[in-house]
Amino acid sequence: MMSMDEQAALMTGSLEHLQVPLDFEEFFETERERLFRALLLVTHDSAEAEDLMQEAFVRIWERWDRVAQVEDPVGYLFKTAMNLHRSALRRALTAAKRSLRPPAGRDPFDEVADRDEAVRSLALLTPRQRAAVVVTELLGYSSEEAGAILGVRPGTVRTLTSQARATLLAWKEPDDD
Amino acid sequence: MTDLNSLLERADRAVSGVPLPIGGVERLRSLRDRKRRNQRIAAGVVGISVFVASVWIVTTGGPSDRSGTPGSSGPVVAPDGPGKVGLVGLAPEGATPSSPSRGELVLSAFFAHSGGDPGRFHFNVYADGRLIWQRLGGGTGEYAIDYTTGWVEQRLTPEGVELLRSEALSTGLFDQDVHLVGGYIQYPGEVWVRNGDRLVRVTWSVIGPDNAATETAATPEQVNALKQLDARLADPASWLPATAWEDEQMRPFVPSRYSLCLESPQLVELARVLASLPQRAQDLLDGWDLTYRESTYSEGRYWCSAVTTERARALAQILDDAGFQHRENIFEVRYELGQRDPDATEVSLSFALLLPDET
Repeated sequence: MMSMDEQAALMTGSLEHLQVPLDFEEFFETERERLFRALLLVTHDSAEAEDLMQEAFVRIWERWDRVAQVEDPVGYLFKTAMNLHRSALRRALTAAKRSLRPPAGRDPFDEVADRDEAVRSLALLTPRQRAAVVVTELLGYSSEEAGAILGVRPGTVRTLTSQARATLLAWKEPDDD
Repeated sequence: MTDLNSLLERADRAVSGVPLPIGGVERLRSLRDRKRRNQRIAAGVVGISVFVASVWIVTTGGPSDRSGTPGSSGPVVAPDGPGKVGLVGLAPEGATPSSPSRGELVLSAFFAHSGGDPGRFHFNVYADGRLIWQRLGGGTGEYAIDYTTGWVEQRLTPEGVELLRSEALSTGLFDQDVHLVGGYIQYPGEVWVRNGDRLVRVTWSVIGPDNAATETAATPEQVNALKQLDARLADPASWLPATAWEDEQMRPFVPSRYSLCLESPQLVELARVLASLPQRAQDLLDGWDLTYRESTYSEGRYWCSAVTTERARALAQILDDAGFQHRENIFEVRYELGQRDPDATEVSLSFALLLPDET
């Protein structure tokens, strides 16, 4: 039976993640961009994506002696990040932290969204739907694996993905006209 | 490839234009350390806690063979691999705890020598003369118990305490609390030193935490002063006079108290967390002062209590008897509970050593 990583690698065409580094700093450098981009697509907020990414890595680091030995540290990382994302307390925390920050400039994510229809279209989805499609369609996990990562049943993953697909059917790229 | 898949891949390519957050591992380390500090505060403690209970020096001789040789027996352990020099975990039965159990901090320092934990050096001086220090090794496997000296205790005379305090004050950095940041700084660190009736705190890192209002750009002179202080504190035996030592022999610091923390990443109540424990453990914990705290940097919940070494050992024995596995690293001993049933509450129970000032 293939591991989650192997399946992900086959679906994404990447074999890089079969080589799980044993050193945390190497793991961090290897995975942070991928995680950050996934969280950007889920949250549509670069500050929140940054917070979630940092916190997920901190949690992984605290348990690295164990995480490095699990079958799929990358999956564990995404699971941790998604757990944090869905936490209502985490959201309140983020809001509280932001209130202490100086007025921020324009979110770089918004500038990308302005330019890219595909990114903008994802705003039509709920955060849960975005999380489901990012984990399954982009990261290549099965519904069962995505369910474990997102903390929901596999059927819920399939429902969310189906809902997302239906919503996006109504979205039509300008170039297609 | 489905349309949805294509759409997401397009979006993924597009968001690659959003710059990655700066800071790297060092920023993570800062966040992680603050989280740990918060957890210790939950038990009424401040500072860094690391597990050590060891009879190493007594049983093996080790560096104690160098005792009484000024200039050669300071807290110097090769940062690239000190090897296992002490037991890590709960203090073994019969080990005599360091006395007194509490102590007033005069000087506390940690110096990082990498972006992460490898090479970190911690150094505490107490008014009662105790010098308690620890160095972490380097390389991969940074949490492996072989990569720490453990907390080591030596004894200073009042003159020695004052000489070390004066050494820190002579840098001129401790007039007020300050956080130094900037490109001259390579790795982070922190020093507390008693100046008059208060402990003045100086911290430094390449980047600041979040509050630019409290940060000061470090000058090359300040950075050099910190490096010199690091070198002096790392090897006090090389410059302290013989009269500064009451007992220069390095012995394992045996704590009299541990921080016990119950933690769950789920938003559950203490009763549910306690229900994950064996009945004997629940009975033992009944009446213990478990203080609830919400973490500043995670959504989990945890309850902590400062417990005697004997109580910690008794609780650990119950968990061992019940067949729960534990893991030890340089920071703690941790039992993962509720792992046998996927639907059970995820709970972990950890023990971390308390230093004399951590009350």
